[in-house]
Amino acid sequence: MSAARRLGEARELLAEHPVVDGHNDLPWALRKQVRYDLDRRDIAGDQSAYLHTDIPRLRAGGVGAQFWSVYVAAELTGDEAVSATLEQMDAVDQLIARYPGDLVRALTADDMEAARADGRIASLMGAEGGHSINNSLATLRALHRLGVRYMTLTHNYTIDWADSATDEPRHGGLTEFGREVVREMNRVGMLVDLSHVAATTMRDALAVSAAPVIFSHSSSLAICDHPRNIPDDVLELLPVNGGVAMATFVPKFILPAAVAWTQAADENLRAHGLHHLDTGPEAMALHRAFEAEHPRPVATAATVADHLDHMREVAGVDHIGIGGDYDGTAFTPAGLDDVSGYPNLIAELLERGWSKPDLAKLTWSNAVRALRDAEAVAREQAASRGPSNAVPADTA
Amino acid sequence: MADLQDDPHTATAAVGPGSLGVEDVPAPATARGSLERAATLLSVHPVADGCNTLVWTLRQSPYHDIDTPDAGVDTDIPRLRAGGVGAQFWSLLTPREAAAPDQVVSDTLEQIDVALTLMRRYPDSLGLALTADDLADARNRGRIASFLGPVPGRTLTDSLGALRAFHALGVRIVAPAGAPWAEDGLTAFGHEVIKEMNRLSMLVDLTGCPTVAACQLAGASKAPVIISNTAAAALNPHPGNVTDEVLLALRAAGGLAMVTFDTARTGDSLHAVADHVDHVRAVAGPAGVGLGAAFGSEPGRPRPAGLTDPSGYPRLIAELLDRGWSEADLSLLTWGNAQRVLRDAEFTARAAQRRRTA
Repeated sequence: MSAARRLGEARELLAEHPVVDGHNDLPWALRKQVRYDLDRRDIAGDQSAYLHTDIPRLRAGGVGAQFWSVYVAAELTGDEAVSATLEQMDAVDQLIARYPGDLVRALTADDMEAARADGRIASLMGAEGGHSINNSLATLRALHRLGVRYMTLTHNYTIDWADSATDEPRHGGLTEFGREVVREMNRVGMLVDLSHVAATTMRDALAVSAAPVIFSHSSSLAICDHPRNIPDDVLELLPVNGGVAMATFVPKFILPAAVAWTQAADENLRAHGLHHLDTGPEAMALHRAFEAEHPRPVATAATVADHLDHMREVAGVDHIGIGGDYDGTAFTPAGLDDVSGYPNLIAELLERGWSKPDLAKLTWSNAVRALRDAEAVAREQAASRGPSNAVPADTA
Repeated sequence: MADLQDDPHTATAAVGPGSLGVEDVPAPATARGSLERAATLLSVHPVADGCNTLVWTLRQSPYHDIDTPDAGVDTDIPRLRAGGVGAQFWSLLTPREAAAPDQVVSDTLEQIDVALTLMRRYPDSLGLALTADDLADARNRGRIASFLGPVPGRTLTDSLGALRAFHALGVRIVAPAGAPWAEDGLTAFGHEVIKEMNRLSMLVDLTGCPTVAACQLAGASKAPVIISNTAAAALNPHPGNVTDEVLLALRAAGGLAMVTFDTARTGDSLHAVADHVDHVRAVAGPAGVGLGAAFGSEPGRPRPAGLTDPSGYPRLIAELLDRGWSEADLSLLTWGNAQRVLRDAEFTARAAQRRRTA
């Protein structure tokens, strides 16, 4: 089968079973680049000079549902984190209101299916890091009321109640309050996202959660040894839990050679006084200069496929998905350069012999099922438990 | 400005939500005839009260069940019903020292959460109200229309996103007092906040604002502003009371000053409260006076005799009848003015939304 024909088949498949992407940082990019001045980044047209994401490319990529990350910098704490999260959510509201022919708000699995039937991109929100709720379960509920459907328990830093994968552990996983956060998320119907958290936190959360968890953008630790990835023993827990691990495309997490290169590149950014996750114009210029001197190892669709092959092997085909992290990463794999690239990944998997039913689970139905199951757990729990107002032990 | 209040009903039924229990109230100073007329009037034009702090009290001690008479707090549903309360603005303010400086937004979200929990817990008595239509609708269904607010203006640092989130959660009133953008003159961001509140149909509550700031805010807002609980500084120069200058500004701008029942601010008798209501009507006009008792505390807070809890409103209305208030003016005082302010704010918002987007 020719490459062109495989790509055609991939597009056909995506037309019916579009991609549910677990993580896209467009809101943060809009905040950093233009302070949400949506006139200056009109995503109805080509924004490839500034962004990985715009509507024409989402359409070309076969995206049918997007969890828009309402990430706020992990350096923010207290009210600043909460306010910034509210602003991020407000920006998503504005995007949905501004492009009603292409984006539609989705709060439930039914909404996702309705959007697919309607030919619009279901727009969900995910908060990235427990710092966004400022140790307040009422704030968690407010986020849920305002439309947030998953929360990543931590971002890059360990917080008061959960250890991060990329910071010093302080709790050995989740604290007692952390477990209560997971229970409250189950009760209101917000998916627990275990990307970014320490493996100990993953195991603690899986032990507590009555609902499926997700990894909104994490790949396999066995394929690439980076703390942002998922160990096999955790992947093995997903069939019982019902959760979904959504493979990410970030080269520095998925390609061993890129892990080493990135350490050097991050050091370069920090030496210029910038945060190593900055994707602003200045940071990009520095990155380009560094890259001119040090050729960057290039990930490809095959790199992502290697992870998905392994994750399917260990977690099973019902427990994998896709979470590109576009606009949240400076670099992307060749062929998956922006949100129009998903068909190339599907073509690669077709080449590797993945069946169409399996691919439909990967792209669409696993993620929808996880949200639907979380809704069912919430209905069941809300009938027997009231809202929790627990606070972290040291502030009680 | 068009008065959009509902046509007054012909008061035929003497028994209504507001008349429950009134007969049992000893009222030596007032003729029984006035109390009966007050109850009849309240059954048609119930009280839309501008301030009740029960949410904060319940957050401190969540053990009160307000469905039954509860001696541990001055507000419960039987007494709201007995007092003829048809609508309540539930204050979401917290004492300034209660939350750490970087916890104000979360603290406000907690307040909203407690208020929404309260609505869910007593659905046959309290109904979340988001619009002036909800106000009328709740009255028709025998529910107490419950508006959320004010939230403290100091939660908004440089963030209209937070304001819009509060609005999306149901909040309809914001109090700028103490906010850095309103304290010493309205900043550019402060003007932006007021414009956005106008666009979203959120009321500006001037309670606690000094005269200069209050006049500036009243001038900046395209929609009528309120003072959700206050009394006349001309009668009692308490710092929380409103000056005649502000009352005149309200009169010019179609705003509403709602009189509190608080010994420290009004004096310790029902007559003293009636004096404040009289004065506010005289200066702000019959269309500029309302009631905002600020009940919702635990026992111990000094209250004027006869007005110690929400069941007291009929006695105040009877007193005002005795002072010669017309039923038309009384219906504005209890209900009509609050409804008009809400409608005017919505009207302003519809006009603004054609010009401004988020």
